[in-house]
Amino acid sequence: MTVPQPDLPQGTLDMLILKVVAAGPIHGYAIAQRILQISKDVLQVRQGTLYPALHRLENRKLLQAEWKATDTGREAKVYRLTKAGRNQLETEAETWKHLRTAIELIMKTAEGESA
Amino acid sequence: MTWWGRLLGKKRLERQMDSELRFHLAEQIRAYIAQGMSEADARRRAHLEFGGMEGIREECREVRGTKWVEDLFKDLRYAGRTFRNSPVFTAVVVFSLALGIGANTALFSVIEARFLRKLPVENPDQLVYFSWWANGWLPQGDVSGTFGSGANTPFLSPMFDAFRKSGDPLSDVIASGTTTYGASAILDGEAERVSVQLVSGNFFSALGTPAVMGRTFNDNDDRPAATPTAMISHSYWHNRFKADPDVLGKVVVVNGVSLGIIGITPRGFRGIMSQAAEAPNLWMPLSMSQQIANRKAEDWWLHVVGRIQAGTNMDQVRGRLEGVHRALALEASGTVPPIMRLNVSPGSRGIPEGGSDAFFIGLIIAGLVLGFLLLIVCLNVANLLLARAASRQHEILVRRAIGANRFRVIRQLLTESVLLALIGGVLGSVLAYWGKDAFGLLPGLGEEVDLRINLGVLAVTALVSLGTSVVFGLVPAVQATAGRGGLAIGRGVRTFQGSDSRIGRLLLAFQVAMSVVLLAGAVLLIRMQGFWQNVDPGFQTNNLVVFQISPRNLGYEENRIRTLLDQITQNLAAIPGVFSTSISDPFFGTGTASSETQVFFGTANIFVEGGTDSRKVRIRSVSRSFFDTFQVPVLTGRSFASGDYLDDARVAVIDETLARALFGGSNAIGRRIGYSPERSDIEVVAVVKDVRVPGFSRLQHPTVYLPQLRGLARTGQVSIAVRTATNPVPTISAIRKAVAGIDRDIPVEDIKTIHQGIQERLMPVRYVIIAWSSFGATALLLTCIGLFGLMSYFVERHTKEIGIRIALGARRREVVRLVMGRCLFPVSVGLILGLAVSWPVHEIIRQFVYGASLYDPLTFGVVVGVLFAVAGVAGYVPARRASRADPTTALRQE
Repeated sequence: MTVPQPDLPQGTLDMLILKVVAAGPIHGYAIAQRILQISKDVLQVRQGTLYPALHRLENRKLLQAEWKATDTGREAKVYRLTKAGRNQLETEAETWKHLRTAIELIMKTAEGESA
Repeated sequence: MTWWGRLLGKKRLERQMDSELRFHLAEQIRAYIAQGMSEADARRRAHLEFGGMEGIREECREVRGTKWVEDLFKDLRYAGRTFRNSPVFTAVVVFSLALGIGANTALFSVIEARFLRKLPVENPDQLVYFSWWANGWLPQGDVSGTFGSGANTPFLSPMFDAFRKSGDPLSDVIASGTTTYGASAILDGEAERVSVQLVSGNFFSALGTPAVMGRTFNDNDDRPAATPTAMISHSYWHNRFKADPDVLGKVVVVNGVSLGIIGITPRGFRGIMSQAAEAPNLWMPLSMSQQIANRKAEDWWLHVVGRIQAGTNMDQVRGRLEGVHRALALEASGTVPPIMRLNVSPGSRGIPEGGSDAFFIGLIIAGLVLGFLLLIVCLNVANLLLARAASRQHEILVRRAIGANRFRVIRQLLTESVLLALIGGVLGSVLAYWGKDAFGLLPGLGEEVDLRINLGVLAVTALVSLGTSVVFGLVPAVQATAGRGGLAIGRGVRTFQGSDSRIGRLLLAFQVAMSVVLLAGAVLLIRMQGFWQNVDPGFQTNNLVVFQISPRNLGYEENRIRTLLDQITQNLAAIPGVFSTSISDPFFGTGTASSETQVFFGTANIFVEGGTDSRKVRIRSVSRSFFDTFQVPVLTGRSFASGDYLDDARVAVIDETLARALFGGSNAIGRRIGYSPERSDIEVVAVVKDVRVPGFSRLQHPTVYLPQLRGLARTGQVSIAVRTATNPVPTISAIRKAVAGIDRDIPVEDIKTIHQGIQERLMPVRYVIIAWSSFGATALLLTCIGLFGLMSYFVERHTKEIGIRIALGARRREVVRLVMGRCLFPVSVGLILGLAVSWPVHEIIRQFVYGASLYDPLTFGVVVGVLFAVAGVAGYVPARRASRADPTTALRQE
């Protein structure tokens, strides 16, 4: 692995988690796996970051958790998006889109002028 | 889940967090096995990736937002453990703080209640009082209160009438005044002396003060033709009438006038004079001023208070009334000085009284002492915390090294400091609560006063204590966490030349200085009491009884008083066992009575004929037999003869101190003295031995005795002394009978033996001695503990160096000397500083107490000796411990 692991800002990680959970109830391990898989092994969320983030979102009532038996028979803590969580996700996605466009614009234009 | 839910459901959350993390790990292992790893490899890989489980847990806990509370409890538990491990330190700090907070709050609460509180009337902030200024001017007529300048300058009654009629912006003007010569009351056939205030008819209605029983005066009661009425004060009702509910309608005869009691004033109501004054026994309308109070139209005797709308400009009031005031003064006296000002001052706290300032100064001194004590407490707490900082530095470095962050360490120390201050504060409040009641029990302090803890003072003292505790409690944190952080566990060798603990030594020097001030005061006062036991009063104090009568109150005129006194002395002489009797001004009195040309008794300035220097002296008017009765030896010259009394001859007897002061070694007999250099026409006929009465008094001046019985008869109170052959107490009832045999309406006032009188005079001195000594002892104890702490701190810091010195062959004696030298230096500095500060303090004490001096060798020696002895013990114990140190242990300790 030569590609450096990008460090996600906390807000961005929260948004990614919300997005993944939005697809349906899911436990912590699976969230990490989904992010890794979708990002094609680029974004590896470490446990020391994931669980505090999950608990923070739960405390902010953006996520709701319940204990459910998984197919392996073990009890897992499964997270679901709340209404507040869905709203938050929409706002953040919107903000993200604006921000990305703006940043891309600057990166491109600045490059063209300096060339 | 709410914050509270997270705080209280901590156990469940921990459990869930653990199983969630374990689940994650298990899933990961399962995934690796599914990829084809062996179970052991999968497990190892998963654990490696997962990292420190505890770190993750800690971060998850952080997210809950309840961590600070949990930490706080941890800090508190830790603090509790620290306190248990050093109970002496904890007890001393807490006790010091409690003492400082409690004693200060209690005393200031009493002072506030007694002197600073607003009058218990309706809207006291609307009140203003009148006074005036005309320096050096003496009008005609009698004057009560201070004259010419000061807050309680009195007014003529026409002035009060004019002020009252002036109207807007004054909505009400009221006046009160007292009798010229006190008053004698006859109640149920018994005569006694009473205090009386005469008040205007609108007095109570304007103040908004109701009667607790019956009714208050109205303007109808204050008419010349009205039926004479009186109100009684709450305390008089309780003390004299045993709170009799049927007291209304009773008749009391005051100075020969029968008055019906119509009401009782509220508890704690003292009229318009400042709250320092005692409530009078009886109130009556101003219309009684001539009959009962002996007041004439030209007498300046009324104290005047007005009510204005809040915010009214007082200059406006002054401007309107100043002209009237001046015109009426001119009308009454014929002349007025060129500059005569009328003053209008805020009166919410009543009219300040000149008379009680000695008492007030006493309280101020007590307040200063307590302030010193609070300072000592703070210095001591600071010192103890600094000393402990040394022993804690190692502990703190270890905590830092194993991962506690700087903030966390500081918070831990802060928790301890605040907890100490808090416990001290709570105990201090309890002490204050008891203390104020204890102070309130002192006579004259707490009577009919609602004592409440003054929350402001409590807050200030508590904050000062908290501040000290926090600032100095954080020193170890700053020392230990600044700079290199957690890795520097090892301590370097500190040398005696090091500059560490400079603050500690400075604080100690200050503390020693404060202790010296208190200690020197205590020793001084205790010595003075010893001094009084041995002081030669100059007369024979055994078998001597004195009492007072006030015949003026019963309408006796000057000539009849002379006859009355003759009759009484004859009757007294007939009592078996009575040797001799004499008449004088009140023997234990401190008042002054004078006319324009002469002083009957009290203080005055005396000049020698032709000289310009004056001496402050005590004037006594005495009968011929005074020196015989008191057995005051006449040193040179002749005692008064009967001829001296025929027309109050201009002759005087002076005491030896005055003779020495005025005439040096030369013969005093035949020389002339007087109240001014021009009118020095009083001839000295004898010099007698000094008469000294111990006690708090500024009146311990040399004495001039004058044969002014006629003048004395014009004043209110006359003192009669009776010398008996044996114990005089059994003759007291015979003395009462002898006086009643002449006129049964004359009360025998305040009869007591000279010994009792002296004991009474010493009572306030005893209070001060007890208070001051206990504060002095406390201060010394605190200083001793502080010294001990500082020395222990010092020895601990230098264990390694001491070890090296011993290893290199230093002898134990040298080590002791080294450490002791270090301890005695700040003590010496403090001692010198303290003695310097003591000087003005003792000048103040000397003002009040006769015969005091700090600078006699014994007082001085005791102070220095006690301090060094205490310092020696406090320093020697750690010094000895240091010298006993085993060099190998000392070196290995690091």
